[in-house]
Amino acid sequence: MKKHWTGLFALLVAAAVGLGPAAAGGLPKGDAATLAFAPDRLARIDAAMQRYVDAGKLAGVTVAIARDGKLAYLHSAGMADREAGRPMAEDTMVRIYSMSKPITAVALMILVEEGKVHLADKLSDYLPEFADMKVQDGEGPDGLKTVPAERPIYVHDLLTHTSGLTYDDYENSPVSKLYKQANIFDPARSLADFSKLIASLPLAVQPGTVYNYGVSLDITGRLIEVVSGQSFGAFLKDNIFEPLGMKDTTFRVPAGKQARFAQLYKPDGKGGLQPMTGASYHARFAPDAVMESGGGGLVSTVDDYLRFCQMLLNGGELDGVRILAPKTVQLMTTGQLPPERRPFLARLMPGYDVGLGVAVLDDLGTSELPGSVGEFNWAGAANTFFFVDPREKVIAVLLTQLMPYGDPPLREDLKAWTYQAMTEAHHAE
Amino acid sequence: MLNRIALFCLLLAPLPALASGLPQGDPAALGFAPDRLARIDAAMQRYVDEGKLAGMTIAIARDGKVAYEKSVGMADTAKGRPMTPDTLIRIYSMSKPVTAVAAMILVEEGRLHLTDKLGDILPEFKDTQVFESEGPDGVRTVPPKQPIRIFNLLTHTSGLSYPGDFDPTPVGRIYDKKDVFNAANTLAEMSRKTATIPLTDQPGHYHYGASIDILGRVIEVITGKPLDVFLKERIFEPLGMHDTMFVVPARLQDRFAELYTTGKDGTLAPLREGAGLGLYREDAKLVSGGGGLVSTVGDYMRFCQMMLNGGELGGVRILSPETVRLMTTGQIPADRRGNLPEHRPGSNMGLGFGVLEDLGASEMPGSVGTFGWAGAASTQFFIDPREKIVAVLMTQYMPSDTYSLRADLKDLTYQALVEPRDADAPGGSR
Repeated sequence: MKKHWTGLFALLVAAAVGLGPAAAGGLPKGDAATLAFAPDRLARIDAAMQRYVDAGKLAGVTVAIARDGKLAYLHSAGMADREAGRPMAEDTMVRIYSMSKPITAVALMILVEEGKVHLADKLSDYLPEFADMKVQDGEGPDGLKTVPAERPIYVHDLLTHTSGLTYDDYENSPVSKLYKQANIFDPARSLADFSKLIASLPLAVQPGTVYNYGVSLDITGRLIEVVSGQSFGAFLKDNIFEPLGMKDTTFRVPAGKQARFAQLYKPDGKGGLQPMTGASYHARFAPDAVMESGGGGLVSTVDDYLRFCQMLLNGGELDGVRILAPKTVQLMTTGQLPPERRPFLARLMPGYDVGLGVAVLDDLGTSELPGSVGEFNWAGAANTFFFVDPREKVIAVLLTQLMPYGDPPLREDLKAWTYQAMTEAHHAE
Repeated sequence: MLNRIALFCLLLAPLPALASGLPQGDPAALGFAPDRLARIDAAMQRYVDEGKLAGMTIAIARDGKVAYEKSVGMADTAKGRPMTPDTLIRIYSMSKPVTAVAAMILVEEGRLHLTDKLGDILPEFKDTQVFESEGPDGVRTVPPKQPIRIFNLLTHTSGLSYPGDFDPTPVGRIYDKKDVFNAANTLAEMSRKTATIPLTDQPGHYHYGASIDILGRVIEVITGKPLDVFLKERIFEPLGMHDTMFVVPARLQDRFAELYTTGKDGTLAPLREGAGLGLYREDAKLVSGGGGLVSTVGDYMRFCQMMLNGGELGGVRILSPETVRLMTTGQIPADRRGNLPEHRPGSNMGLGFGVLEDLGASEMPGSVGTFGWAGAASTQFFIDPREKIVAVLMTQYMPSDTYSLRADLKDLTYQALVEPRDADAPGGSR
């Protein structure tokens, strides 16, 4: 009888613990003042967001700030889809583009922890197509000249963008042009074929030399497939999204969730915005898309991404579910490259070093923004941003859907808005 | 009643200590997740199942207690002997930290100084020249710009080299020609032969080589005792390292692991020649402090724990904490580290140990200040003073750069650690 009762009790607890938070989504609500945020200063964020919407700079925007695992602030302004009359809300699904990269990096580190792959392994041990790579050496009369790679690509190079791989949208880069001609992000192409296609094209720079932002995390997705024996999407679902209750994070927006999927906007040249109707902004996320882009293919919500960030802030664990060990998170959020190997990042984000899948603040003074040393972050091409501040135990996420990247300066805004509202610092500095 | 308990404890207590080196602890209480420790079993078993290694042992301790110890596969496949924690393993260059500790015992006694000139102790090194070039007329040399000092031996900055298998350079080929590491040489003869070979580089620059073997000869001259006797009296017996030795006697041959490599057909094959295999025979004369020791995982764990404790274990003090601190502090400026960054990214050399200074450059999880080394038969160890962790990996496979076992030991140990203490780790104490 006693045993019976204990069993039933355990079942009830498991149901409450296991389903409760996932069903609710996001992080539990906290009291802003208790978490040392001034409510009147948090209200300034509402106003700042509304100004962007009223000025026609953003269609809609959501900002969330959490501390100590509890939500101190969550607010949406404007519309997710102006034409359809759908407001921006906390369950709006947005293209997070490069904010997929930290998720892909976590996925790879799960396999590193299992001893199935090492950061110091040669990529070609797993993806033979990357043996004997060529590197571009300027354009000659007969087209692009190449030289052999001086060293192999290692797995570590993928997570720190030192593989020599590039992107398809850099002006003045001949390899970028080749990527574009090959339509590398064709949604119909499998990740296996994508990897073979990229490996058939020259590298933009020598592997292991400098930080060169590119498709490294997409190739990491293929590496994960080969090492795990699962499709990349299935691996993410089984090992990250389901365990963390990230129920709306996906490569393909299913028919049943289309009504929550935000429209993507760009300036219309007349001071306002217009929807981006190009197929590439929609087909990649359609239910029939094949390509699973670990560098930029995910759609997510503010609730889901907060949970992912909180897992990292907690040292790899959330609500009793462990994804990574604290020492792995420590390594991922430690700067990995000397300054001379990251001039590009120094221009993009002064004061930051390269972690694994994230950038890490190592020089507060140079960053020109409030913050804490050790803070890590990344951004997405549609002007989505997040940062995690381990010293202050703070997470901030900003979601919108606007291209091109960088205007208005929302990265700076998110930092300024968050820290101006914080009335008590945990950290001595 | 008390008497009976005391008697019971006396009877039982020494047994686990002898079997596993350090006392067994409760993994969860030590901050490890048992389900994650079980992943180490699986990772080791894969190496065996895939035919990459015959056998393998990993031991992990925290706070002086064993959190994990497991052996998989075979110590000798042909004889059907399984790998166990008792298996005797050629630890090769993991001998170096032991010999370095021996030298520091003499430094503490005031009988040796890190600044002493090697030529003052071993006169054969008074006129040793530095390699410049090799031409039809032979090798051209130049005089050293500074004399070799004891400090240079302990940090591999003496300019001494290694035979061609480990050092494929003109100087390495001279080591081959002179057969420096022939087991029939005494250590005194080995030292005299080595002193006739030019240094690869000017003293002061890192170049991995025979430095610690020559340090062994220094110990002999200073103490008047053979190196093996000094190590036994001052390190192995005080620390209870009863299975650490240079020569494996006949009675212990059935615990001695076979050494493997990958044969021409791609499967594991015993390595029967070269690799200093003559050093372990009872007729061997050469006592190699740089690579000649045989040990067990338990013995080596005790050695590591002594270092982690600041020079003491079980009430027996080998070194002072300040000496251990010096040995585990980086010693070489970044521009003089030779190929060390390639082999151990982010690490500097301490005295006999590599020391992690730049975690981000290391490409594996860890803590700044961690020190360790490795052996030519793919053995590995590290000591993490921030996390109070000691980890040892034993196997018998050459060449040592075939598999990423150094990364495995770090990756697998730290993935299982769920309660870090390193102030730089999430959840660690600041």
